[in-house]
Amino acid sequence: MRLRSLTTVLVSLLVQIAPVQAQEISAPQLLQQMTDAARQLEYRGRLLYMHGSDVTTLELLYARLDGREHERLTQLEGALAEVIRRGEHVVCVHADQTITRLVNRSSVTPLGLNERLRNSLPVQYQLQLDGEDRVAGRAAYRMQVIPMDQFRYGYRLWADQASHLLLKSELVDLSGRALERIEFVSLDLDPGLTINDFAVPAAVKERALDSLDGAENPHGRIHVVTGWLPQGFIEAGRDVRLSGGERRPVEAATFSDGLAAFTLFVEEPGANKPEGVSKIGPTVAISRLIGSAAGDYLVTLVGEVPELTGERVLADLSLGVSGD
Amino acid sequence: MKQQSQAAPREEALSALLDNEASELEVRRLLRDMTDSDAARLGHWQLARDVMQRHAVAQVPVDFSARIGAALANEKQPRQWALPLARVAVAASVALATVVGWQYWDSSAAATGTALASSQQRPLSLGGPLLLGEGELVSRSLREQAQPAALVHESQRIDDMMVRHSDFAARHGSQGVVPYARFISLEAQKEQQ
Repeated sequence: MRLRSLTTVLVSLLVQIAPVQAQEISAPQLLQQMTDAARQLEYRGRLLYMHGSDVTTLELLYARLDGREHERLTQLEGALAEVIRRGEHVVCVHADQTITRLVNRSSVTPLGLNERLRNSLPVQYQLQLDGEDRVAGRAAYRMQVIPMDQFRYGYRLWADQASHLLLKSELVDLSGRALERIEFVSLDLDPGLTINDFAVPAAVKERALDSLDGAENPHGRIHVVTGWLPQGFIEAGRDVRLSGGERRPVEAATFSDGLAAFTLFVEEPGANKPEGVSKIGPTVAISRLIGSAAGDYLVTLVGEVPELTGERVLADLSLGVSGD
Repeated sequence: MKQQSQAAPREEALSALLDNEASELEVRRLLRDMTDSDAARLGHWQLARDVMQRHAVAQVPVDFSARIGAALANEKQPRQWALPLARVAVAASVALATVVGWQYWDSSAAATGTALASSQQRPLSLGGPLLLGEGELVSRSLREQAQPAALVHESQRIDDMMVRHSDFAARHGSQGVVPYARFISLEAQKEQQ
């Protein structure tokens, strides 16, 4: 009798709670909860990362230690390649055991969305709840981020119903096909991570992408002047680094609509620097020679935008010369 | 509208062919009756499929099949053809080169101009979500007109750009860890070469 009544209580509780939860969740709320979950939880998980038929298995570790975010993304098969983030310091470990150090001053949420997206999505996208699904053996809500024009890609997102952590994310083209997919296949929300889990391996050598002040850069007076940008895209950052085998200064400016991003690189033209179009997964790279008052420069657009977008941006691009 | 309804079964059949879902009978019939425009259409779809299924695939213009052998022979390790697609691809003379790494197709200024002109003729519908990848078709037509350049393996230069872009994208693009995954994946491919 006692057992039966307990069962009755449990069943009635479940019946009561389940529909209420389902009704409560809205797409913007879920987006916000996803962002919070990614930064508040601690987790270790295995991920599948796919573009098209090519699959990479990765391990992701995330924890807040000593008040700083720690994150480690490691390639599990083949050569070791990984990205380790400790607070604002990002270390890229390359397959040839060289490393590149980067400083990331703003907080990144793993598999998540930046703080600025916490409350709203750029107006160029529409957010929709799209039913329920299962990812990594866990019940998930499915969401769609639909672009409102053809100049950017959309996303499909899966959030864990229990923790609200983003479990799966797809970048989809204009016809709705996934160009890229990253998803957890296993997830531990109580991994007990320590600082040792985020140690940087010994490197053969560092491959520096040295920062340069504009003043030190002989080409610093060249800057991109965009004519046409897709609606909502604004300049998000700019720097000059020495890079490539020749260690020449290459200026970069990144533009973003809050979700998608592309970067314009300006460098001196050279024999091994052809004009052309290249694609890898969802990332397109388009190089064009652009004339300026100080001669021709090679401008390369690298980004996760449709090729059409890149071509249009470059077609209307000019180079400004300052400080003459 | 009439045209669309007539074209639809044909397109479905071609699509099934591409997806390897057509029966043997259908395959034979389709290959027998295949017109140039069908082949071109298959080519278009396959380009889309390439991007979907095989990263780092340089899209190959339809008339490039004759040169593809040479291009692949130059590769240290030719990648396998997309098996479900292979017989169709050969039959339709739509070659599929799969070369991992950054690779450039030298699209001439003329081709760029054409593609941009056609994109500008199309009214931009900002009022609602777009369902069809018309922009993608435009860019594919650009590739078709492009002259295949020598296969240039971009090395550290593009890699550095990728790392820097990924870093920027991670900071500003709100894509979380995905830009890093792209970078790692790029590293993995380099190693495979």
